[in-house]
Amino acid sequence: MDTDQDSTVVTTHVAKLEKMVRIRLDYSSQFRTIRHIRITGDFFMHPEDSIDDLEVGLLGAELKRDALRQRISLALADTRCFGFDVESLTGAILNAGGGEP
Amino acid sequence: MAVDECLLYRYGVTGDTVLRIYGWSRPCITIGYFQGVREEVNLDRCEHSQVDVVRRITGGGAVFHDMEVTYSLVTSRFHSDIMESYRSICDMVVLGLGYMGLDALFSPLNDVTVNGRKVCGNAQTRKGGALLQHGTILLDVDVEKMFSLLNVPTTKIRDKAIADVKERVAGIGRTFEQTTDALRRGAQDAFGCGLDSMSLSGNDIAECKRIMATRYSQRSWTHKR
Repeated sequence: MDTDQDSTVVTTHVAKLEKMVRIRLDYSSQFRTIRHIRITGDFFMHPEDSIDDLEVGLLGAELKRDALRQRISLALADTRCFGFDVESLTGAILNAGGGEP
Repeated sequence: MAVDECLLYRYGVTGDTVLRIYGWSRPCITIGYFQGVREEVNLDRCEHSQVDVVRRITGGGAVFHDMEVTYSLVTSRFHSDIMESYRSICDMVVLGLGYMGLDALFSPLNDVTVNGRKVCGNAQTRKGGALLQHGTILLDVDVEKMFSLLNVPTTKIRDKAIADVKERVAGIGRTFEQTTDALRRGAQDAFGCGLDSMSLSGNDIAECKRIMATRYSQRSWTHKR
């Protein structure tokens, strides 16, 4: 696998979901996998620590709708969120990555 | 913030419900647990204006605490449904505002409105079987000052944001004393109980200082996101 042409793309995307959600995303240009993600905004999550599980759980995920949806659902299985849901967050992350190829 | 957190951990598990009503010695900005501080706050301007900035343990948005009555409520007796728990606690605000002749309504998820404009915002966290709800009742609002301290990307958006907030948010136009008295009455009505005054014990104060030292006075806490 040739990784010579791989680089990290850094993007920020602000999505007005039910609450404001800002996605700061670093991803592989070649493999379109997440290298770092930070999700911030005025939303609510109970328990709050789930945000760490969510961000860690998304590392390595492909920027594809099904892959993201699966990772987010798993990370937030026992979490109540107000301000976004699995689908809207999936869409926001995809948009941060320039949309689904 | 440290006192509120201390109350959560020390009294939330006792079965007692604690209502704390307070103000601020000088204006301050709190940001929600999930917010990025550099994204939300103009830190240079805050420092220049001597406005402290601190991260809350509760979610929600940035709040400029200036002309307001602030409260926190800690309880182990709360509705498991989050919206219903907001509603039942916000009832004390709704009823309290009613004592001042204001026709207030709970506006899900976490606001109270008068004449369609937000006058009270709230944020909760739940830890160890206890609930903490922070809330602010706006007495007056200086939107221009608020937006001089919060980050808004462009002048064009700032003008629109100011106009939007002026349309959506309002102060209740009552004094601090009037509002705290009304809130106490509202709490008694909402919870069907009397209120006993309390003071923090020596152990409470020591715990507050510990929380202050290890969390709220640490730059790493407020700048963690």
